[in-house]
Amino acid sequence: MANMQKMIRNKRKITSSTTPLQDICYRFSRNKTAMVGLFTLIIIVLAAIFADAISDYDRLAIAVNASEIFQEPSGKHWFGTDFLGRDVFARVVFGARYSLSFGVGCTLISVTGGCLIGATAAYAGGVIDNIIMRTLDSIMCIPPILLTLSLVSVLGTGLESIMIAISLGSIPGFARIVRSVVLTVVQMEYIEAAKAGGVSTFRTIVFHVLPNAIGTIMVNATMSIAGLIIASAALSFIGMGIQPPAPEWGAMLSESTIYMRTYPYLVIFPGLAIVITALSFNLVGDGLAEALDPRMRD
Amino acid sequence: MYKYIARRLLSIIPILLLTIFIVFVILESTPGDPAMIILGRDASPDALNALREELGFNKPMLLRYLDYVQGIFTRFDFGESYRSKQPVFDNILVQFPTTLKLAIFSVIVASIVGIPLGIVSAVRQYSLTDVALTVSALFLASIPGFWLSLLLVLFFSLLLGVLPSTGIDSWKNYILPVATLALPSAAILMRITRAQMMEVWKQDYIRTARAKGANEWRVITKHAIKNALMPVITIVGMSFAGLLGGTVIVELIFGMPGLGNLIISAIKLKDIPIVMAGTIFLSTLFMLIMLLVDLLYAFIDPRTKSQFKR
Amino acid sequence: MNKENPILEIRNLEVIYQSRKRESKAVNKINLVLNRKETLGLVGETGAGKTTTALSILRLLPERTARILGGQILFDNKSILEIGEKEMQAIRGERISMIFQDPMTSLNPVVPIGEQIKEALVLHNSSGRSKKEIDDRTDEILSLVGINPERKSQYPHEFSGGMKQRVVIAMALACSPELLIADEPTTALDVTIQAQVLEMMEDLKQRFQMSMIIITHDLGIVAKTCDKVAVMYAGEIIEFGTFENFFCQDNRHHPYTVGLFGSIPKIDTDEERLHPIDGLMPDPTNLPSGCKFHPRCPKCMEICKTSLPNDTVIDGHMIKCHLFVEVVE
Repeated sequence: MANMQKMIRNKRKITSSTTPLQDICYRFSRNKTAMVGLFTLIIIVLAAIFADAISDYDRLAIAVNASEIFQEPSGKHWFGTDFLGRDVFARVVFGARYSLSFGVGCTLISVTGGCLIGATAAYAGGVIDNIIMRTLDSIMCIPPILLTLSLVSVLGTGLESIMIAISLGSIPGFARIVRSVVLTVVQMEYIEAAKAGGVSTFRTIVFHVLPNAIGTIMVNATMSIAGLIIASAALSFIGMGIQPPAPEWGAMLSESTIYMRTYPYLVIFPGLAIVITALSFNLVGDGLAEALDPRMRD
Repeated sequence: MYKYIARRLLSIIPILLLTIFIVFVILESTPGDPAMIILGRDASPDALNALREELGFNKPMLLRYLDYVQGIFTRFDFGESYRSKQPVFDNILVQFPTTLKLAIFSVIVASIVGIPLGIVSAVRQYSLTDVALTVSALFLASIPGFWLSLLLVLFFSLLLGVLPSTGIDSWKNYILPVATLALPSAAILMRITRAQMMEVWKQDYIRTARAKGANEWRVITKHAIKNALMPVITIVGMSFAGLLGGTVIVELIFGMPGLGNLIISAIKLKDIPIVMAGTIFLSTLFMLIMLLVDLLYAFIDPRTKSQFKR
Repeated sequence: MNKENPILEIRNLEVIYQSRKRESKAVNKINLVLNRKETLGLVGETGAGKTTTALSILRLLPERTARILGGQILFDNKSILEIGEKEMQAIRGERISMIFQDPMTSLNPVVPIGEQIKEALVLHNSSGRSKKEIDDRTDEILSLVGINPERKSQYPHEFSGGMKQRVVIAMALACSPELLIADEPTTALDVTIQAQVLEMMEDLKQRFQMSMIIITHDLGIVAKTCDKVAVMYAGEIIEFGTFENFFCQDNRHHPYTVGLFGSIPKIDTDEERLHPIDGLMPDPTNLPSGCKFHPRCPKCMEICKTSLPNDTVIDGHMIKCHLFVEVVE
């Protein structure tokens, strides 16, 4: 018995030295590429928030300036000017607002939708679970770009419509993750309920299930932001998303393709903006995945 | 074995019907009166009404859905284009080979590039090569396909003038589109191969092989690859299925007369039957390919294979 | 005893595992001698450094984390820590073989067992055996371990645990090695099958004239099979002697060994309770000062807390404990 107590005491000592969260943060901070991603991401977010301080929306990003068309990148116009004389740098900075809100907004919609649907399916079980899961399977069979295009043609090209159209395709993925996590716990509950009654299902979900699922969801969500930023830019690029003259990166590229032979910088800078934003989200997501994976410990 | 295949084939029928239903409902809700699209704005109300009656637009949606499904399953009849009045399925069959070629070439290139690099990356875990490969894979996965194709066109067609940027006249036309499609897929395949390989690399049987005196090369080729690649096959299949539906923008940029191009122009013209048929066709293909991959996987894995023998 | 020509000699071997924050001492300056045709039992609790020692001999320690800090391993008078990887590959599987702990995971799940057994033969085919001869040898070994050679095209999942262990043994024996290291060869098996497998191994050892190291934490197995015994604790060998030293006349033992003896049920005494040793193995990243066993030792003295005891050897029976130091002096 004394032996047992000593063992328990020892065990407590080991776990109390570092909490899992500290461990994860430590491992994340040691990951150089992830930190580069996080740093870049912070800069992009700050640029989007303080875009008005960095540049002037009405004067530089939107107003047509006939005397300054097609200026090569210079001290005055860092990224040059486009066919209407608008400052590409200003447009790229303001474009960050579109891309970040699309990426984050769509992911929030998908994660929320996924959590609701996945948890409902797991809880309801039986026929309802079956119907939900088969419906998700069906949606997953539809090529995402075609699903989005169809939805856009139904809902129109407003900001919210585009967000919904883009998000819908990624709901099934999140729903599946949440469902499987909830299911494992619901199954365990039989044992647990038998052993220690009195703990409500809700409490179990909040304190025991969610912490397990949050890691996976966070990693998937971060990566999904990158994917959805690209998807929204692609949608604007083919003219089915945000419409010009709004300074959206995809729309900017779309407007510039015909001039790219003579003025390649017009397609380089907005594209690089997309790549760098998506890459920093991917780096952070990748770093999170490694930091959360218990197999990668030590 | 046959029983298993038959059961799996039957099991996709409800999903197929559901997929058709979802696509049908979404696209039927598209604003705009099909009768007016067909006859033009100046048509008389009587003529419009007559056409609506003829096309069945006065019936409830569920009935029209059933008619539509019946048409597909009994006669391969996906309806007629509003614009050309031609059967939609003929249109699809004409345009599909281009898309298929793009997807096949791309998945081959992606596998040839991605899988070996993933293996190298895993075996040299945490080395400079590994870090460089992993970061480049993430970088490739962060490049939008449409921008990549713009850059490729800019460099190879406009600046160097060595490769054509539009059309499908020769094999050269496929190089840039395939590169655009294959690179991100290669990145995904590399990441997954690396993860699988690393998992296998830690297993006891790898140590057993070493203990027998096998050298690194033999351990990789005889013991690790077989185990690591089985899940990768699923991903290759998924990439292929995904590519079939993912060529849309590339076809548009490179002016290739594929299925994606057909669907996009149909969306812009509100030619709903083409969009519907194209989407359903690609979704069905996706389903069938995933089923095939599943069956293949079951067949090559000795653990499941022996279950079917009994 | 033929002391001039030991098959294996370990001198001052020191191995550490490094992770991001910690460094743990897995093997701490151990010395071992194994003569030809002898069986050595390497005994100790989990984490005592037994498997690390074995993997060091084959040079199969995990590359990234483990490091051999110092010492020598002489196999057949050749220092194998200094030879090239190619040369080492020629030794592995042909002259030194190892049976790993868990037969469930030691076999490649997607390769037929016949192929896996044949592999060592193909790799070490210096005598230029033909394909047919290799196949015949594979069949022969399979029958030796009691598996019908017709089953060689089957996959590991089609075998039971005991049968898998036989496959693993067959694999290790394929090239008739001079030294066989068996790492807990029976722990994963049922008690009834344990006895069968042990008997078979003993039998095969006689037949092939092998030297053997059996790693175990079960003194019963040691009593059945070993000529010599080494007891490991926290990376050190704290007692080393012959079978007789341990199981017959000698009453002098390290307190830890006494504890271990206590912890297996004895049939010839009335006592039915197990004697677990109080406490846990020390944390290898933070070993106690002095004798590593002193926090758990029932006979702990003041000196044990500060000073590491020397090896005390009496007639070849080595004990690393302060209790016996004065006996010699």
